Amino acid sequence: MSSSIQVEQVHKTFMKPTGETVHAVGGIDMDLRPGTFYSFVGPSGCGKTTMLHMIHGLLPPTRGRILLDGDEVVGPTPNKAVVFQQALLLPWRNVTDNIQFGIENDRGMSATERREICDKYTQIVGLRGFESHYPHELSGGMQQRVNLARALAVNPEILLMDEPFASLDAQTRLLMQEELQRMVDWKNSGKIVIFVTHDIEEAVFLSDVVFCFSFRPGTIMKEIKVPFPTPRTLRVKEEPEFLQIKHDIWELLADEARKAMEE
Amino acid sequence: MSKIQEIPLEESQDSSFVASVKGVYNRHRIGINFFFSVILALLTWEFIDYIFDDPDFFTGPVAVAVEFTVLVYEPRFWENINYSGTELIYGFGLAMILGVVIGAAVAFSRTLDEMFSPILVGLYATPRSVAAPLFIIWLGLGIASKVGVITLASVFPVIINTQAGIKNVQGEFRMLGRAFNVSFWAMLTKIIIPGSLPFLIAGLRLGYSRSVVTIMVAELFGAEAGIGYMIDHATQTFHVAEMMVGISLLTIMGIAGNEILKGVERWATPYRKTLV
Amino acid sequence: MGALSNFYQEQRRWLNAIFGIGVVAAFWSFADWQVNSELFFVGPWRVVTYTYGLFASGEILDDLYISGIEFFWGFGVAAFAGIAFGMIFGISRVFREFFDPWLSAVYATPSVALAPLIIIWFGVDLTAKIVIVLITAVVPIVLNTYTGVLSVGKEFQTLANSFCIPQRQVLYKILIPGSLPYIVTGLRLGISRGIVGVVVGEYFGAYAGLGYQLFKGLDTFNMPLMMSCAAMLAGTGVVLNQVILVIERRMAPWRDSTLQE
Repeated sequence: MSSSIQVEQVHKTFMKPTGETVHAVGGIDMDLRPGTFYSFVGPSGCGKTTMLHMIHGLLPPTRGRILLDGDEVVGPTPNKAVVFQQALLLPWRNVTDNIQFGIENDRGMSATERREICDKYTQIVGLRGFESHYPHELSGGMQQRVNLARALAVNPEILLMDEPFASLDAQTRLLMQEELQRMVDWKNSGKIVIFVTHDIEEAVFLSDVVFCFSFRPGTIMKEIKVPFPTPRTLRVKEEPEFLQIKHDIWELLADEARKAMEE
Repeated sequence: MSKIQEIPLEESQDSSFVASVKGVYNRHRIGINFFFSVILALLTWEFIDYIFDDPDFFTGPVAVAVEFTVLVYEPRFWENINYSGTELIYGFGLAMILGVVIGAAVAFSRTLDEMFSPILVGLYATPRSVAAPLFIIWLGLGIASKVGVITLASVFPVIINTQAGIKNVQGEFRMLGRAFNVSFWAMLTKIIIPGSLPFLIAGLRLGYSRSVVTIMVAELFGAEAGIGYMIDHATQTFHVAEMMVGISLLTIMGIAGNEILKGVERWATPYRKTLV
Repeated sequence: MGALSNFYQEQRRWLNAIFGIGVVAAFWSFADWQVNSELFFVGPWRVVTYTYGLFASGEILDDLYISGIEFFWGFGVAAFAGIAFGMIFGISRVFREFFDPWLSAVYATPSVALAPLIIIWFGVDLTAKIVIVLITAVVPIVLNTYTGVLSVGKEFQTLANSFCIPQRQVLYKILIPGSLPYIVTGLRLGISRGIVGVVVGEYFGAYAGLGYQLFKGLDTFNMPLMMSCAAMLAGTGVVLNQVILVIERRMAPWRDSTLQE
């Protein structure tokens, strides 16, 4: 299992109900390789989430095309899974049933297999013992673990993460960053992971490659390779080289962020 | 519906006739749909009349309009409207006052809340207009018994919503008031009243629609005049057009009151989106 | 003394509720004692014994049966049709925008006012009464189901799309459970309206039923009968409401509290 994604000159334009057009994404090229963790980082409203949705197939590009193993992406497929910013757990389903959401339509799978998959990912995200809890009984961090397990359970080749830690408190967030590497394990499984965030430190810490987005219309200003071996520990964040990369990206994004703020 | 509507760039730049018609439709779709919807409703109504072709059984909008133009010359007709209108104003007015007072009492006093809320919630679920005959015996066939029933039927949504509104605001903003050392009076006028207003108005709208329904129920059990009385009388004489005029009048009363309350809501709480 | 006040603090909810009912019953009895005429007013105890008498002699059973049948069919059809239409309104934007004015008109029309028309169209037999219950009960069910579907956020639709869930499964996996609390509120409102529908329906040419007995009581100045019937109708409303709440709690264990209207 190893897929690759080519993004070729993709543009996206929206129309507001007022009739005003918004040029969200303005000509992006990317070449995404299996077994790699990519981050999209940039100010709010820079089109990074839009780009993620287009790769997922939820939105079609206005111009340009996105190829997955040479075929154009036309809609969501089971080999892609998304981890949402809000956990979006179904309140009427317990943890197990929420994790099962994406695989219950797979006819090639028996009920026992499904059970086993759910157990496996419940274990991986560390929710053993909470299987029959309902979402309202879980903390924000635990809800995001279910959110992640639900996406991992479909065993996707491409894992799309849309600011999954944005609503967590700072400490939980740090712990989740560290654990995410173990939970997703993209190196061995050959997955492509795309992680959208506006936290530069988070992007650098997690990624093999960071894409820096400009403000609208979103383009890629720079593609930065992060040299540290994975899995990383939080101690990496104190190394001079890490700080240097972080600093460079901030230099690059500061003006764009200011534009976003004045919008 | 997402706020940003997705339209491909190519199409939005298209200046052909079709595209411009589409654009107009998209911008005014709610208004256009409303217009055609009303037209279709009237046509369907008239068409059913045409099929039955029996004025003792069904009448279309045209016949109802004609009947209306006949009825306006009868003093009895205006008497009926005046009678029901008076019932509505007194009944709903009383429900409004009592509802706010009782609702505020149970919201501010925990003991009163615990004593009477179970009864209030229980009564909220009951068909209260069935008490209409009792009121006729107690207060007579005149207007007083109708006012009593209308008040009884419409007071509960006002009570429950006033209570919910005040409790909601208190829960959210009590700490804010404490932190800024706000006096009780200022708390009441600056936070509790404006904050619970949306709930109160929602309660008034519910109560109002019950009031209009109850006019009909109350007058069925015996009345000297009124729109419900008029409908009942027309039923006995198989006068379908007159019945429909009566029903339309009640509907207009319902819509008019609801629109007025919606207007009040928009005026009093411009920061909120007004719902249907 | 300390023990007593502790007991009060621990059980105050129940004690106050019972005390509240006691206060109401006391006022009611006091009013009865003051009026002192069965033609005008009856105390709570007399209502209980009179109702017991109606059951003991069996004379009310036919009426209960007839009204029960009317309500059962009228409300049953209203529940199914109401939920179905509400779902369609909630799901289809075109349908919603197009029929919204119809819905507003239906909402604003006092549905009991249509009862005489129903009688003219369907006659005075059981069918007409069932239809009257149906039209009075259906409106809040449609409106609440519709609001419920709209309250299920669009993001859940996106969730379903992204996991490739077929559209028809979205209905029972997301929309129905998501709008359940609203549907329950609609059903509860529909119950009390449906009971009014029973009474209004029986005003027109009925020969039995609780509403019929209510009118008979009015005609014959039989105050105990009227109050007993009113109490039974109101009691039915309370009981059915509780039944629905219990069912909801069984079916929807994920919700914290459902007592909000």
